[in-house]
Amino acid sequence: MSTYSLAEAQDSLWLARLRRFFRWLTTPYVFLSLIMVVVMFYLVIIPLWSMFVTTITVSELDLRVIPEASLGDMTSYHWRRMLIGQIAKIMTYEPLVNSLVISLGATFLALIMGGGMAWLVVRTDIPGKEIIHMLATVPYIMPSWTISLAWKVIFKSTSVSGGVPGLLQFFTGIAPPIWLSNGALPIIIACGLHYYTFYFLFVSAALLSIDSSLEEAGDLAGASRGRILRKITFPLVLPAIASGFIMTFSKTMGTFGGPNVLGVPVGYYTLSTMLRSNMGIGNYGDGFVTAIVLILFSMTTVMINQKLIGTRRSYETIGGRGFMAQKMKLRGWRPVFIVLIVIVQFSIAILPLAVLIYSTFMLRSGNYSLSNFTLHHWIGQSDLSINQGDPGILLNKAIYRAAWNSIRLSLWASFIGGVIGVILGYAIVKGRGTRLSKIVEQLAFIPYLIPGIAFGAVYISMFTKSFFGLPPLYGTFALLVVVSVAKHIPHSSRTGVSSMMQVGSELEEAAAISGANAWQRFKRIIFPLTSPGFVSAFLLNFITTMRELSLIILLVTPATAVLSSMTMRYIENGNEQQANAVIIVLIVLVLIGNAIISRFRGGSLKKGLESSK
Amino acid sequence: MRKISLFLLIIIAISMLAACAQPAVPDVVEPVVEEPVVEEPVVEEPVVEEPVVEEPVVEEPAEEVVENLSGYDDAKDEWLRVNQLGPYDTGEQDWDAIEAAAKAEGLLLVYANSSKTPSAAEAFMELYPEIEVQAFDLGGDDVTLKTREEQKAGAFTGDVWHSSGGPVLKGEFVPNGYVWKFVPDTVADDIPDYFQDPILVARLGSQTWAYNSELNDTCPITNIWELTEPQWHSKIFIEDPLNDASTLGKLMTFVYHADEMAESYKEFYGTDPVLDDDTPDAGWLWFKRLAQNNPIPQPGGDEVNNAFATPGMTENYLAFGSYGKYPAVLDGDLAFELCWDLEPVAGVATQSYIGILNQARHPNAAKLWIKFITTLEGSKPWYKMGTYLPNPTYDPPKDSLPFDIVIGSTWPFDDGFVWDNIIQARDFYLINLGR
Repeated sequence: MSTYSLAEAQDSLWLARLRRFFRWLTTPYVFLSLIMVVVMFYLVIIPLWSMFVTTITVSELDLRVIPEASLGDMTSYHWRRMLIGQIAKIMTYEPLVNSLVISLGATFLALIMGGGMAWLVVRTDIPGKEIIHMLATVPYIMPSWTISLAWKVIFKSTSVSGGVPGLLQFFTGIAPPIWLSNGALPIIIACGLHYYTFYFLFVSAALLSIDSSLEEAGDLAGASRGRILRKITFPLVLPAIASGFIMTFSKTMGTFGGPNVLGVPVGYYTLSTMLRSNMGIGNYGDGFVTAIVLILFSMTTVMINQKLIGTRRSYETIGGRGFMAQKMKLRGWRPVFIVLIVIVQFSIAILPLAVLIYSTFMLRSGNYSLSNFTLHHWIGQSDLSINQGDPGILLNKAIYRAAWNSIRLSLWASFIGGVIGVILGYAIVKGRGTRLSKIVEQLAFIPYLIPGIAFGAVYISMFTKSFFGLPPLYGTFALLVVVSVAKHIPHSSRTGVSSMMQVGSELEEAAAISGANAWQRFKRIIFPLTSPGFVSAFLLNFITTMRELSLIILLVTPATAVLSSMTMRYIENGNEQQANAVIIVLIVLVLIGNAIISRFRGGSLKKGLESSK
Repeated sequence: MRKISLFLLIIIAISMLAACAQPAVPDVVEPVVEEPVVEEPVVEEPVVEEPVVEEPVVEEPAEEVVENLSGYDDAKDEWLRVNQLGPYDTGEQDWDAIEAAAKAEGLLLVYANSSKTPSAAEAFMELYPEIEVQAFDLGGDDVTLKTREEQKAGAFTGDVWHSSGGPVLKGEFVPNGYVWKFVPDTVADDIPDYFQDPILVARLGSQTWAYNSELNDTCPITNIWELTEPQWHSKIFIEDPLNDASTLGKLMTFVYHADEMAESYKEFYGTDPVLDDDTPDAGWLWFKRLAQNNPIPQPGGDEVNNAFATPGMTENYLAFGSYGKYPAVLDGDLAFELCWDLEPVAGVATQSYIGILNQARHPNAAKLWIKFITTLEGSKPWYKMGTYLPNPTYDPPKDSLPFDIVIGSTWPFDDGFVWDNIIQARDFYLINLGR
């Protein structure tokens, strides 16, 4: 021992530490996590930070209300005003309570609808699965206010909306009470029905990858069907349910369409309504305070969610054993469920869609008589007395260019998003319990909570200059891809996580022992097993990007205009029918995309796929 | 150990990234800030001295050519001088030269808030096939946001502002030189001065108090203070002032005319207005009482029209309606009339503006576009009942009331007052709404 000097001992200690550090660093999940941290730091933290800076900096617009300050000073004005000022109760707290009520209500409704339907489609012998699957995505493609509008047509109350009575009052003679026509309940129903797609996609992806022998074992052991559902199936899909919860909850927190149509007439305002109000009058300081309050509240929900799921973290259901997917026989319940599904899907997918399609054939909106029928909005030549002289959309060259841009953008964004999703899922799940994993998961969730319009505004200022080695991207198509990927990282990561959580680590360990390197393990084991998750993420990103508007409206230039920005153009001047026609084109494109993308599932989980057919 | 190294790594990574990232987040401060890149001269002393020698050299050409009249940085001043805008605007234009230069530019980006702009663009391109117009219908709020972000970041993309947003123009964009006024000499003398401030008005509309014409023969109110009376509690439809800044601004225009509102008060109640602690004048008093009378907000203008003027209604409502929707009445789709004889005025006239975006890449095409829009032909897509052009030498559109009646029975939307007070007014309205 005496031959060793202290310095040498320290050297070797450092060397050992260094070696350990490098070993840690080269662990795939650590390496990937760190890359993701860097990526998200740029795409998420910087925008968020500049939002926060806006709330504490005196802007030119603030000089109107704080005349003694000078430009660029630090100020607590916005925070004081929004949290303790005279206006705080009306502008922050009441809307916050409303937002929470709506979001929790809608999430619960969506869980029952989406989860129940996913179970029926994947695990039972209900007929017409492909149609159900296809229709389930329709509400999500449609603009979020279509269901609200349909609600208004039926349950309209003349005391808050004037005009002529709604269908209910028309046929029964009874005026619907205001709680049924406007306010919390209708908004909850409209949002819940609109966003149940999340639960449907997530839960069905999770169910697809569960080994049904687990349930059969329960069956053999004599457990009742309800008990199997409660004790075996439900815990196994819990991660997917948790993901669905987060997505639906925060999406409803940020939604504007439903509250606008059904809440505004009775003064039922939410945080998103207030956010828009402040942005509308150029009051970014206040607006971003609202946004940050919204973000903090949703973050809290995520943390609660993580606490609940994180403690029971081993839901690895794709083990090294073979498995078969056994469908449950519904027997006597079959007609009941069929009727139920038909009613639900008819009222939330087919009916609004039919109304939407029909409206495109009406010369004047609101007139349903046959004499009002026209094809003008589709194939009419320019006529100054209709639509301000706009030709039918199928004769409009700009529509074709926009459609191509939409497709291009959605494919790029969903491909990159899907890849990032799988990487994130791997990094988060394999590192579960470590602080790094938590950081990555939290970061991945944040973009969801930043209102689209704020995201777009921040991205303009970030990318008008050369940024981190990238050339100035403003005005290019690439920026649209970047911002779409960034905004939809939560979609990707949640689906990635929920499908990755079910892949047992013994598979990878076995491969590692047989000498497979990280890339081979990923390519041969992880990716094939999680591909339904990848496809789900891809699909969700595809749909969302196709119809996204507020996020990219500030970043598109005429050359990069997309279909959703075209609908906006038509809506602005009350040219509703053509806007609807463009939406229908959008829906058709998404359905085609959906059909094609779904096919790619075939490559991996053949048995799982069979059960979805 | 692992945790420590992890933390260290993250801290190092984050601080490195932060260092790289900082310049990308532009300061809210004015562009002048870009100068302080003075780190180098401190190290290399001779460099500091050099500018002293150079200075007279810089001054000389400045004296020879022209001095910086705008007070902005050199690039901006140069752009203004070359294009004869701002302080260099002579009020006269050489249209042959502009047209030639515009054709050489070959492209024009218009930021607009009207879906009719593309139709105007097509007509323009027929006239000047060499110039491709990309008329970009963004919607008013986004025209504002896009312009602000582009200008602050120095990413000059758009060429023409063709949108409403008077308050922002008046309070922010024109004072900061984000948008420049351009009035073609072909119409400069015909258009009254007040339609050239802060920039040229492209067209005018109006928003007036209105009633259901099936349930009433004449307007059921004669004085604007009747809107605050209990019989109209929860019986007035307006577009939600919280979501629609322009409706809020229109209501504020009534507040601005406090003296006239006080006179009408006296006429209706017989006494001088009794002010509250939070209402400095009759304008604010009216605004407060209107809010307390709980006007029912609707998400959009179409919803307002359907709410008070659908044919076949049985309940009587009032609304803040638009003359622009009157063609629907002629078609039988809606049943309303406007209260043109209301004391003190029927409503508010609204303006939409047109100007050149600062440091536009196609300034000559922009000038040509503005000249085109000021002609009857160029404004044809908008030239319908309820819309007026600022040039009184043009006849009003077919079937329309004369320009003087509509402009005479409305107050012009006050951009400056609205800009200064919109946040207080919104809060004030919210606090009093229905209470």
